[in-house]
Amino acid sequence: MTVINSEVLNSKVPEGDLKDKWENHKNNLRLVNPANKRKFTILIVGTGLAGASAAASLAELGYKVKVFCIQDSPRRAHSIAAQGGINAAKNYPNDGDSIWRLFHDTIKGGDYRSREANVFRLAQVSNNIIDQCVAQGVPFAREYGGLLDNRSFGGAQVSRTFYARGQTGQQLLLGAYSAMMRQVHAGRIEMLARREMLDLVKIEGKARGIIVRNLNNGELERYVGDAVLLCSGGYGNVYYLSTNAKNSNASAIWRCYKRGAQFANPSFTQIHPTCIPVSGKYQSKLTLMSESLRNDGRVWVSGKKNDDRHPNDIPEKERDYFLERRYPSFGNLVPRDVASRNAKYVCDEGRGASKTGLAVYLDFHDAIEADGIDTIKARYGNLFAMYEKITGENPYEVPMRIFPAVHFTMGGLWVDYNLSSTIPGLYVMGEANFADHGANRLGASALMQGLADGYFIIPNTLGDYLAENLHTQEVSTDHEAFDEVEKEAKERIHKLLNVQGRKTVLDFHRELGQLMWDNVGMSRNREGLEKAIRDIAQLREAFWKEVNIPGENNTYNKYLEYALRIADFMELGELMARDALEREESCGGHFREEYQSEDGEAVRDDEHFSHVAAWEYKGEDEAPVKHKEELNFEFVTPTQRSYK
Amino acid sequence: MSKAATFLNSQVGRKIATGVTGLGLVLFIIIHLIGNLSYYAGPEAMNTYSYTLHQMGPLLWIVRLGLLAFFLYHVWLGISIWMGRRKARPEAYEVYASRGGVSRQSWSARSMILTGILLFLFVITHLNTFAFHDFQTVMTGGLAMHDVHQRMTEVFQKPLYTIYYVAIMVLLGMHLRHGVWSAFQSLGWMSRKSNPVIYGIAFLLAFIIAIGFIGLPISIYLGLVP
Amino acid sequence: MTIHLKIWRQKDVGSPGKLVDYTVDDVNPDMSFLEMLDWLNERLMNEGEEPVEFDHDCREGICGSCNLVLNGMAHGPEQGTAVCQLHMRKYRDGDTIVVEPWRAKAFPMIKDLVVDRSAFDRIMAAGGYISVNTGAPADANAIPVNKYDADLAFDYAACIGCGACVAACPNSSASLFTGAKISQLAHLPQGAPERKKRVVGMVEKMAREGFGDCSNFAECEAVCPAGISITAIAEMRREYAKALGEIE
Ligand SMILES: Cc1cc2nc3c(=O)[nH]c(=O)nc-3n(C[C@H](O)[C@H](O)[C@H](O)COP(=O)(O)OP(=O)(O)OC[C@H]3O[C@@H](n4cnc5c(N)ncnc54)[C@H](O)[C@@H]3O)c2cc1C
Ligand code: HEM
Ligand code: HEM
Ligand code: SF4
Ligand code: F3S
Ligand code: FES
Repeated sequence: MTVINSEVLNSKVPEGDLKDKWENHKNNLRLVNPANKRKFTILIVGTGLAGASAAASLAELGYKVKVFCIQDSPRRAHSIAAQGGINAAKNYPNDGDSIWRLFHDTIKGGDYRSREANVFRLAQVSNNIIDQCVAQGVPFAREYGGLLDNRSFGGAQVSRTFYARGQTGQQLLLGAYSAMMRQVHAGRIEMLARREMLDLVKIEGKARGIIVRNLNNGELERYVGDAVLLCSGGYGNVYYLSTNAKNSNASAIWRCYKRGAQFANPSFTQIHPTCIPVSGKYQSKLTLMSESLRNDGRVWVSGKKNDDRHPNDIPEKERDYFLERRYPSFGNLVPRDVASRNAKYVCDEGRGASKTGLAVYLDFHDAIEADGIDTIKARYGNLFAMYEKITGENPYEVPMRIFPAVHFTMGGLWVDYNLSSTIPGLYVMGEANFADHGANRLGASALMQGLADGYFIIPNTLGDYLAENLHTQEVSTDHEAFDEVEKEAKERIHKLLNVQGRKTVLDFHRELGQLMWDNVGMSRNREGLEKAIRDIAQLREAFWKEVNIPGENNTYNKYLEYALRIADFMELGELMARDALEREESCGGHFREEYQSEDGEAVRDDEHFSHVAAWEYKGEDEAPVKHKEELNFEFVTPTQRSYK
Repeated sequence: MSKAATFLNSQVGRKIATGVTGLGLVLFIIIHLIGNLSYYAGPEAMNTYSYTLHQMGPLLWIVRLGLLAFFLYHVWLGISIWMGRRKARPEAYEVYASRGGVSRQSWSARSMILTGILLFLFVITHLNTFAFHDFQTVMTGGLAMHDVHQRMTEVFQKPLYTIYYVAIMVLLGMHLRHGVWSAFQSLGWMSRKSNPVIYGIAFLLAFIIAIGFIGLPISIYLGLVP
Repeated sequence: MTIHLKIWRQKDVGSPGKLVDYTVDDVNPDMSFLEMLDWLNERLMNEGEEPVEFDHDCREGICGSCNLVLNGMAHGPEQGTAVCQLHMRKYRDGDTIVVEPWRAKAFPMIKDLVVDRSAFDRIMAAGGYISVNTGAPADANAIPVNKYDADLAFDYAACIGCGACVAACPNSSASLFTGAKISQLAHLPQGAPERKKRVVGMVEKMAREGFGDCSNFAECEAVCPAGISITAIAEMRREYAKALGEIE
């Protein structure tokens, strides 16, 4: 393995005091004058919070923007599903919050694996996001006095989360989407829905275009631009089952990785503890239940193995409230990764609930007894109803069953302070970049990050690149680079369609997911990771020999779309395992069994692993090369987490 | 296009116009019903009512023309809205069903076009039976009046007429069962709270109007009115 | 349990479509309706047949992608539920379910059960926004909004843009969708400056896209997974009348 302590990875973090960095940086960035902005075409892939907000803001500035998304409408991007809320350091409740505190919580929550300057900037612009969204008409929850309401979220000690019932992501996305549609109306944005980016076109080393498949008729289309912005979301679906929407995928970033963009911390995955468990092989996705349930619900399993008694028949003294037992001070409110891992352990011991043995109970009996059923109904009525809709069980009477599920990927393409990848002209935003969340993301921070990137960062930093490129040669889609990349994409599609094997795409995806979940999941070890690398390689080979893709290329063909994405997941999965294998420490969502304390807690190794691992693609049959971006903590001192 | 034309050509404007004309017709019908009820008070009352009406001269014609305009416009709107349906869904569902619940797709609602057209045809025959009829003249209180009372008595002694009228009045009730509520909604007078209340009141109104009209032919036919 | 399906199959806009019979034997009551279709599709693929195309994404009832008419009802029989959240335990062994796509001229067919709903985006582009540029707007708490209006605005804002209202409406009217956005913004002070322009633009666009008139059937509200009330349509009409009364 080659490890390069890299000069390639110049984070471009500006000098100066933490508080002044962003302001100074903005003052030093080159500008494009309004008349010239019209000459630039920006291609934006994805219409989630990051993509929609960037598209709207750049079009307002005067750039020509083309936007692509997979769904039939940009409003359906996966961001729509976020429930809980969005953080900001407004300190409206006057409970001692500040930009510094939000910064500190985020960097600590990320287990000191993110860049200080980026995280601080995120906390700084968080307040502007709320102002912007309110001005757009986002109906955040309000108090009787007419002012905005906040709540505490994900174990934070202050109330800094803004929310719109349980549909915050929806409302924020609709705000950004409507701002974008306004620019569509004004003729500055061309919206191209049901288009999937298949590859990146580089000319003279710069990102200059994309090849896109029109999902309605299979035609490949070429688009040329002066910069490409990837806002294509996270890749949790590599695990087959996750809380992500079915169309969420890694292809856009993966194709760019293969064209030279480095992939940072691919193994950093967040597993959310409170999801509705799998009920059978037919399961197609997992549904998240809000974390807030852990405020009142008590988590337990039976003390006995393979206990198939109905939960209400298991007497109190035979129940094991394992989180309360192991973490007396935080109890049921330990962070996501700790709660998830412990649920896995008790299930591995054979004490799991449910027919599958893959669930733990979340019990509201005591809360109902203490606060009355009406209070609990007022707090969680919607969630309980949703649970009942999906499982057919009444959580007021029978304890809920929950299990961890893949939820968010902190890893993604490496970007510098300007959000530029290692390919000039290729910018990455939202969940698609390796982001500001380090090894673990705090609740309600992904929405914040997506909108910060799109509304407030890229509109400033993109101009700097374009100003430099004002005089680069004009290219058209007839350029031979387009011919070449399109040909490759076409061949891939034909190759897939011609396999004509006997297994469905879903068979392969399930198998890959199981491999990833078992070996690159909540708890990882060398043996498992090495096995995963071997097995995934085999599975990939089998995929290209045995997959059966129905139908033709020239009509709407969902399974062909899937197949193309799963082909990429097969490669990404291996890189994730590799990254996890080489990170010989436990941090945030990445838990290596070899690196734990005697009582089973994660042990971070700051001396050797206080860096971002960025992987460079070297070719089909070559091992990728790992670059390191050292993380220097000038303003905070890393400490070990403890929730005992 | 002028503002008014824009308005009347828009989907919302057309609907508001349907509501306004519909309510206008309802108003006429209520007055007409009250007038008709004077039959129960005997020939003098009935004929005097008709006489007074006709004494209004030019004003009557203005009202009549207005009514005619409303009527024709309402019919035209109703038909064109209904015709628009097929254009907006050229291929019909193989199976279609109402979800029920808060749906207002009642029998009445679905048959608006049918009950409407039948009402239209009815009005033509009805004018022929009454309004254009060459009434006999009677002297009442020293004035020569049309003996409307006599004509009504004559008509509703025939079983076919009676059945025809009763049937049409049922259809009228149906038309109004959806129509009255719908007009309120069309005019934007509905809020979430008032919606079920007005839906109920509209039903009551439609019922009262239908029963009010039905009463007359039946009671005349059965000889209940002295 | 065993479920009999009659599914609309159509290759593309140009080709004729028809209902095709399928029987799925090993249906688990805990499956969602879409999972049952996945299940059927896997079998079809294994038998070398073309799977049924249908639209879906979040499978949580929020993205508005899924769009099936089951036995004549948009999103199926359950109130307040998008079809992706409908579970097979609502059906009985041996039931027959007819599955059709949204049908409306404004939603052209793409394939099988997939249609094109971009007309909704175009209605939104015609005014479904508040014109503020990204920048530094006033502090979020500078304009208080009373809780009643804020809650009402949210009720309308909850629309997931699925198009069931159009699919279920006997007239294929888009009034509920359009009315919901207009009413949301009409209840917020931020929406006030563009109030008139917005309603006129959106209402006109709705007609031009080929959606039908509204006859107040309220079927839309009955099928709406987000529970949008037809009061939205009443409000839209009020707004429109006011706007044309005053606009120059
Ligand atoms: C159930 C759930 C609940 C959550 N709740 C919260 C919460 O309460 N608070 C919080 O802060 N975060 C939450 N998150 C996380 C957060 O929602 C996401 O991280 C965030 O929305 C990602 O936004 P995005 O803009 O990066 O990408 P997405 O919203 O995922 O958008 C991706 C876009 O890219 C397009 N796309 C992808 N690939 C291609 C391609 N190849 N070609 C063309 N287009 C492509 C898609 O069509 C889509 O438009 C939650 C996540 C989940 C799963
Ligand atoms: C006696 C006369 C009539 C009265 C009192 C009457 C009354 C009404 C009222 C109040 C409405 C509701 C309007 C709205 O929803 O905005 C209505 C609707 C309607 N009327 Fe009439 N109507 C009469 C005659 C007719 C006739 C002759 C037709 C003929 C074709 C007709 C066809 C319709 C239709 C189709 C509608 C539904 C329009 C829609 O909402 O789509 N009506 N009527
Ligand atoms: C039982 C039911 C009804 C009876 C007994 C009845 C009776 C009459 C009578 C007697 C007249 C003549 C009045 C006169 O010339 O002085 C008349 C006129 C008229 N009726 Fe009716 N009517 C009935 C229902 C209706 C209905 C349902 C409608 C409309 C939908 C209607 C519409 C009219 C109209 C338009 C006129 C002409 C008014 C005029 O001369 O300007 N009638 N009716
Ligand atoms: S109003 Fe309801 S039915 Fe119509 S698009 Fe919105 S959510 Fe769907
Ligand atoms: S069902 Fe249709 S007729 Fe109007 S009230 Fe709803 S849009
Ligand atoms: S699939 Fe998203 S709402 Fe049904």
